[in-house]
Amino acid sequence: MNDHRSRFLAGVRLGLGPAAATLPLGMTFGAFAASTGWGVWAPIVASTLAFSGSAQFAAATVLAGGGSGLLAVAAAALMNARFVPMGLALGPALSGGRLCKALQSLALIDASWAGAHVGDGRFDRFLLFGATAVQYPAWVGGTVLGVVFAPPPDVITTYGLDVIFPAFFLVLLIDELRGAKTARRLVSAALGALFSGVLLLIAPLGVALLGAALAAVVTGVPAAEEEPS
Amino acid sequence: MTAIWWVVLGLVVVCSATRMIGPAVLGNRDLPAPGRRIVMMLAPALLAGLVITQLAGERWSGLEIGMVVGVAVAGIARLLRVPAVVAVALGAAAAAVLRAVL
Repeated sequence: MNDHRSRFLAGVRLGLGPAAATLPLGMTFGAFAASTGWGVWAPIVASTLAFSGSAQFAAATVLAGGGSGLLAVAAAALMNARFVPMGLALGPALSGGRLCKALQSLALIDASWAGAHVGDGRFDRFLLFGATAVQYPAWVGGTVLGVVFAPPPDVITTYGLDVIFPAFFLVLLIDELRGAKTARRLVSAALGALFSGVLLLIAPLGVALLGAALAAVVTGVPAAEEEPS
Repeated sequence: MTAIWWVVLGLVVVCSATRMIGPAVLGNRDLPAPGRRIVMMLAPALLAGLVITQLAGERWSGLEIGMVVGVAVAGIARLLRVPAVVAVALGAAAAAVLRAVL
């Protein structure tokens, strides 16, 4: 039990950095949505129940540009399609039966998933829960503050808060590539960057991220030399 | 129910379903060997993709010198074994200072 608690607290510490960036991002979403006809409660309910910055921003941007509700939801689905392979990877680390695992997977967000990876494709669910536990109130609270106070949009860039997420992902990538059997992981990272970078030129951001996942298929399918068949 | 609430409902369904489908389909079964190898390669591939997409933005329209320098500073700091949180904070500070100067 104490081990679970210490891993959960380690997850909380891991989530503090992303949460610092999540709060102003949530404020931005709340202010943007409220100013484009969502009203007061819809952005707050969306953040509370959907809890996905990328999907919510995608939907809000489509609606603000005059797109239909169906297009907005389709954009969100495309944006979040990466959670399917991420959930497959996370599944074995979750406890209980199918329903129990599915419910636990609602804690899945990018920063928590990346932080909960403990190497060799294995994940620690307590790290995931801890990291998400600190980012969830930051996102929902940020949305409420954004709806109520509507802060100026340049707050995030002025204080460099927009750098936190890509910097956090780069730091985790560097740590990932420091481990054993690095060569194949290095190729996977290079192809992931290449695929997503090229796809960004012609496709929405969500598709580009799915392209990065495709790199794992290219590098993962061939059997490793040291692995028995 | 107004149109915006249908969008919110759609968002909740889509965001929950994409998260739940993997663990629900897999259950307690183990992935076959190729699947396990793909999962092992997923973290570096997706992390690299997340760095690129967050740096570049939609159709590479978000690329900006402050962001690039900030992320580079965080990466260099981590390569020099600076603690992760401090490395990220250094990156954010570098971007803020550069933007204030330029």
